[in-house]
Amino acid sequence: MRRGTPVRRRVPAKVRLRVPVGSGRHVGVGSTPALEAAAEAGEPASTLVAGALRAGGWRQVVLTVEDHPGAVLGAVVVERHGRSRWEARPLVVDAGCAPLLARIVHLSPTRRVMGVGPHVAPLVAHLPRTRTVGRSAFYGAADKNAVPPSDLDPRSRAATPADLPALVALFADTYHLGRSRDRAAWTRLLRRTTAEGLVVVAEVDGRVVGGLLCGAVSRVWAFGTDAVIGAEHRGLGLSWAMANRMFALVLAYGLDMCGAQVDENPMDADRHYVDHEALTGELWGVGLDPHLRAVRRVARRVRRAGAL
Amino acid sequence: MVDARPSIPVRRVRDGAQVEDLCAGHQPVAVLVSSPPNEPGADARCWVVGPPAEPTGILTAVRVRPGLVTASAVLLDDDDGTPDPDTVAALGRLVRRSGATRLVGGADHVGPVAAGLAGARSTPLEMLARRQDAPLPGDWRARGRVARPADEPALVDLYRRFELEALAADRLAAAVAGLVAQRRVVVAVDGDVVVGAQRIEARSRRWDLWAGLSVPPEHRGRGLSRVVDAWAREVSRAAGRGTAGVRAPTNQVPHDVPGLVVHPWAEVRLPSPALRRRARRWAGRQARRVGVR
Repeated sequence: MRRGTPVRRRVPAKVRLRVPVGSGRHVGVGSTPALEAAAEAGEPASTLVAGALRAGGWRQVVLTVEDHPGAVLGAVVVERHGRSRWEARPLVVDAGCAPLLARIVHLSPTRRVMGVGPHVAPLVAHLPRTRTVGRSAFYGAADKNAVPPSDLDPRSRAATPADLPALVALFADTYHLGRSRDRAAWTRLLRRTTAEGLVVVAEVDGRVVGGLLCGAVSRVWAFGTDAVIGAEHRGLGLSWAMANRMFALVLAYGLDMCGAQVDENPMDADRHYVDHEALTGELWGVGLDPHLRAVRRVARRVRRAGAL
Repeated sequence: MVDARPSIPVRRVRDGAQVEDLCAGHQPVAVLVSSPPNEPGADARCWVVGPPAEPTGILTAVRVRPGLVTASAVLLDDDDGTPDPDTVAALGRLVRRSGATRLVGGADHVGPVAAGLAGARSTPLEMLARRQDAPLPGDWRARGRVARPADEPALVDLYRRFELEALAADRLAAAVAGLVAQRRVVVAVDGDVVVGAQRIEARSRRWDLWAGLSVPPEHRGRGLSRVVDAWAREVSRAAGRGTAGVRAPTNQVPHDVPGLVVHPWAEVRLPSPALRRRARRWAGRQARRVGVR
């Protein structure tokens, strides 16, 4: 061997990093079948986590707290949703690991923690950067044995990839509920969900004026995460048209559907779900201040630019 | 004698939404033209013929696998029923340039283009398009469903026997996985066993083109094709689209139901570029032998 040639070591095909954190617990990096099973077992409350795990991708980091035999105690999926928009979705199986999960969230660049009550509430007391805590009604509505709605409004239909430019413009420009205006991020999300067949659009005069998407889809549940109707077309009953269409699609695909009412969204999800008597909990959204490191970085840039 | 190059402008289009808009007035016959540019991961090329303000024809060519290119065309200015000869000639040149060995589409659109291509062999078929509100058979819901990832091995076996013959065996599993992930396959089941399937070949904003209805011989005669067909209609209905399918004289599906609209359809086999090159060389040799220049 020539001197100076780096020695190529044999590395097993799949190595999972697992760090001991005391008390017989470990933090593992990356998703595992046990974690996916734990997420699916807790649905629909954990559909956000199960959907994120299923979507995968390099823009997310999955950290799992495990005991010594490898049983899942909790997990958190930290995902980049756009420029400076990191979101954490925790899964709490054993409440004892909540402080550790909160510490992980605190050290990450997360700006928002999303999840259903039992998975987010235990973390809030341990999150030092908490700025706002929002709670809204969470519904698990359709069940796959239900009869799909027969009177579907022809103004709504499932989206195709050809609708992407119109949908991206609609969501990025007129919809700011916790998501960024980053068009690239919206394009990525809409391209993925459209390929899965779970985006519905509302059309008026051949123009796309509204959109509804299921951003988290597991093998069993679909979570209706985002909905928007252009300001000039509100009050025409298009939200009902889109919601019914999505129900019919989800039922045709053999899934169940869940969703949440957000106060800032003028679409009245209560009216859509209340008939199903499906109120199952609260969706928590915890807004976090930017990390001190991020603030210092910005301050340093501003100082270099001579603005201070 | 050298053909005069058509003076009509031709441009390459990469925006799938623009193609979909241009084809909107000719659906569902134009579904194979508008769908490939919008398919994620499809190796599709699309050309628009005619002035930018008033295009007169579109051609889409899809590379299914190395050595197999399929094309489809639509004529946009057929107000008086006679296609513009310049447009037809330009589309024919594009078919040649794309290296397509199959030209598929509405007979009114593909027929004139194929007439100018040497060695083209056309098979007349019919496309059946259906309204969304056609009635469904009685027990279809319990005997079928949308395919799940667990069905992929069974679907690969099924398609290996009957369908997707255009794909090599090593690509079939990946192709089926992609279709299942996009919820484009419906299956008939007997317990947990997949006994029939159909898939969405192409889709536009308003239409789904269903193809590849396959039921193994040992399960035929039990009405499974009607179950699969009913699930296909349900999936399209839920999505707000109509269903379309191509029926050959030897094939009974799509089944006759009220509300069917029949469009003439054609599938044209073209000589491969390699065969055309060999034929040109042979013709050149013959011409030199007899002294013709």
